[in-house]
Amino acid sequence: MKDDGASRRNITTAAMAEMIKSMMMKGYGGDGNGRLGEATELFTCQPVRGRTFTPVVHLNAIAIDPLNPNLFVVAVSDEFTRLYDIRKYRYDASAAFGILRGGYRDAKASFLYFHLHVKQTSKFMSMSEASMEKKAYGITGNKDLNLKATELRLGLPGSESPEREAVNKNLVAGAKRGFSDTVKELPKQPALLEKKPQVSVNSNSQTSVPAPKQQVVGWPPIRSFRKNTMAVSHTKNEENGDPKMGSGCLYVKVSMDGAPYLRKVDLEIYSCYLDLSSALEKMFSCFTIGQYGSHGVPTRDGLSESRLMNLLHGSEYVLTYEDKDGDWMLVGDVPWDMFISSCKRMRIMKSSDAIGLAPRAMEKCRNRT
Amino acid sequence: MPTMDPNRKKSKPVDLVDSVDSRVELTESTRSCPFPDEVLERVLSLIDSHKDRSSVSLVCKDWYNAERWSRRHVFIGNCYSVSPEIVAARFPRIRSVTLKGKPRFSDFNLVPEDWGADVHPWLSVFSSAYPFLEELRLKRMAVSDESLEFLATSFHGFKALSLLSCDGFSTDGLKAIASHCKNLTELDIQENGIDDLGGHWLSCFPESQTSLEVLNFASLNSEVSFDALEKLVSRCKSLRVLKLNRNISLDQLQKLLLHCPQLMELGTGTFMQELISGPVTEFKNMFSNCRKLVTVSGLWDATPLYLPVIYPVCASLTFLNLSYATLQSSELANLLFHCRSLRRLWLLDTVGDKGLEAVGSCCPLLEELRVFPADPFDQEIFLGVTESGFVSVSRGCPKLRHVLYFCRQMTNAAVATIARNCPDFTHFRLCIMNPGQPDYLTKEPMDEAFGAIVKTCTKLQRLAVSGLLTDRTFEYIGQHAKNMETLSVAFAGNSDLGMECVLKGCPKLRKLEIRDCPFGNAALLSGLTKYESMRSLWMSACNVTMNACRMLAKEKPRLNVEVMRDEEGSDDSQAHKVYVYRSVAGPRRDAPPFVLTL
Repeated sequence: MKDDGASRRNITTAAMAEMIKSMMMKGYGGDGNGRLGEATELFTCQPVRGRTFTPVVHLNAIAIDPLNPNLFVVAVSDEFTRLYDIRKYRYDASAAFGILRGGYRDAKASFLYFHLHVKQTSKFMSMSEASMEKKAYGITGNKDLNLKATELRLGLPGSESPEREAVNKNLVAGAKRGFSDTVKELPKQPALLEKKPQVSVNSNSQTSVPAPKQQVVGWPPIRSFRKNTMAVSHTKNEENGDPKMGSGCLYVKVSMDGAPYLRKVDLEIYSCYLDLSSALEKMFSCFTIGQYGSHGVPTRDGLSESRLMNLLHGSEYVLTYEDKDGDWMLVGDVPWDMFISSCKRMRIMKSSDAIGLAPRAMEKCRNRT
Repeated sequence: MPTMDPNRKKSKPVDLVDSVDSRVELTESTRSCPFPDEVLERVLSLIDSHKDRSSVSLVCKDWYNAERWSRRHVFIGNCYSVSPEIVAARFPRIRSVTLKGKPRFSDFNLVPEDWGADVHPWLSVFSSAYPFLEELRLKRMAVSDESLEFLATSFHGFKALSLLSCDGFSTDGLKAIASHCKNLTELDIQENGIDDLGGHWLSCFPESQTSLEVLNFASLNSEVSFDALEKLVSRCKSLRVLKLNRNISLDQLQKLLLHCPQLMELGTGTFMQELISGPVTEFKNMFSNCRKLVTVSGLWDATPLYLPVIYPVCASLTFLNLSYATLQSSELANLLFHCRSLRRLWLLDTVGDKGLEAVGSCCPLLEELRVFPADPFDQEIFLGVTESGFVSVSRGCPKLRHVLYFCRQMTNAAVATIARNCPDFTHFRLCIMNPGQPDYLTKEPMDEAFGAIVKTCTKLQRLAVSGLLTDRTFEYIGQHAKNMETLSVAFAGNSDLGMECVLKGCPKLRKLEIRDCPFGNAALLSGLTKYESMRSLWMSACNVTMNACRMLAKEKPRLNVEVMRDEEGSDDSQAHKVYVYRSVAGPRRDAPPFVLTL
């Protein structure tokens, strides 16, 4: 299929190029699929600011041809797969990728490939996920559903688009799988892009937040007046900003991947990261009973076996937090005071999922006075 | 009670519901009571408890008559168990009626609208039978504006109206009450399905209204005219209960309190002021004149800045309702430090386990604790209170009798400890909010928890169970809960055995409500001989079929066996919602189409 000008979209490619360059500079190693043993950096795309008149697509997956790293293919939120040859473009790490003076031209794909299979990809999702997606989009079933349904956002955890809020909490993990799956399936020839890169959709089933629970009628047994009143109060509190502040209290939500529910901690009562970390360890240790270890081997029963490693420095889990700007950072990088003043909520995620957070944290620290 | 002459001829105990049209003529041979009727009546008039009165009426025909003529207040726990005509015929001199309608699960949307329990037929009969009716207390009844207007205009001496969890009316109905009831002493509107059309009803109280003692409009959302309210409060010198709604601001409250220092129960409005320019010092003395205050509720949006305003009255408070104030643990602790005399405390789970520790250390006289969830339906579930909070309270408050506790995790060991610490429980309602959740530490069912409760707390009257429960729980209940009158069960049990144990083993059981349990026909029919001694049985989403219900109805003609159909085309053999209750009034005549009386 020819490159059709009418269907061209603007793609934010600066970050893409950034990532690819980094990958190339690091060289391919690891498992031979182009995957490094340990992911170290997370690259994300920034929304194109100030250009709201131009349609923007969102990046879902990037794959580099392991045999010819000059070629990379991009799967985005529309129906095309784009193949680029990096040699055609000069990388200068600016958002003005491919910009000509006085105008904006998007990166021109060397090859555009239309996925005929897209309509069928919904079968990769379980019914509940499909309905989750439907709900998230308010779509009642038309052709568009399939396209939206296959959309995965490669965004920062927490920086969801409004539509996806209820659904996407495991973006980082999803993206990673998308990448690896795509790379696995990526053949030598671009033509084989027919294969479905959207297998990553399946990773949604491993999302850390369970699908919104079906609410049981009349349970818990609370009278309507109280229900309605508390709903109003709750919205008021949310409007006033998370976390809830009382004098001397700074409650933030802490979620853990795989745990059935969140907890709230009062940051004010801790004086350093160590205190916070040990408190969280205690709180969440019960959730790791019977959980599988990182290598798929079930841990033995008993609290001693399944204690979380020290959250700050351990290998199995990392503690991350969302700051006031909506960015997710590793806990421990910034001074404690700065942390408690900017932390909105925390998430204990598997280290395998947390890639590339540290450098950003340092950068932010620098940027702040 | 007067002693009985041993020579008296013993009459057969009269059937409780024998309707006697007029005073029975007593011949010399049957008159055996040594007292003249008037004296007996006078004596019996001092008995208030309706249970005692029921017992009195069973002694003999004389006593039955004396009792019925002297009764001023009638309590009807199920409006369909008897008809207004029967009541009017038996009790000629009633001044006060308490009437309860829908099954309790209607509070949680399990009963469709238009189910019934309309108060109007009662009012029609009462208007002729009891023209001097003074008090009406309704719970879960369907009340319309027309009914309220009818009430207001038909009963000229009407004094007290209390509506709790009713529905079908609007504030227009309240207008009628306010305008026409010249001698109104009580207007108590609580948690109803009311159509709030505005606060003008309050302005309908005439200038001549000075007798109000109780005014509760805390659950109404519209703003009332503060001017009208202030004037009303200042002219009603006997006002002892005032519960405001959220629209009343703190400075408005201050003004009101100046007019009613005699107040005993206060429900505040919003307990904070938006403007921050030093109003707290102004409010400091707001309560200094309220020396009789024993109950405080409301406290909407209370913050640590304003909460200290009530500290001066805390020492004498016996009931503090903080279930609409989203307090944190430290705020609560600071508050409770001053409240050493508390007997009853209602909280939101925002206070957390730490807050409950404060309860345990500050309130040794506590008898009732209710902890409500702030975010019961939030998908991201916070941990409000846990088992450790409950245990802390039990350690510090051994006099606890009445508990309602919503939590997200519990252990058998904790409940056993709690039972040991507080053996006097009469009402124990534990709601583990995730249905079918086991002991979170041992992963075992919560059987032992409730076993401990029923074994240790012999005075237990009311029990609500939750969590993962097997038939074991019900075996325990059947074996030990000998004083239990009300049992609420949800998402529990394995087989018919569970329900059978309860029906066989609990002699005082009066109300049994079950939802989403695997109890079937055998269980239902095992209570064949029991249901007539109970007020009612509710079973929904269980394994009961229509045939079993029909059999029950056939065997027990004095029971009303009602089945609610969910929708058209649903399986005819499954009985989704079953409501069984004893009645002397026969099957309902006002049943809507979805209620099938078998």
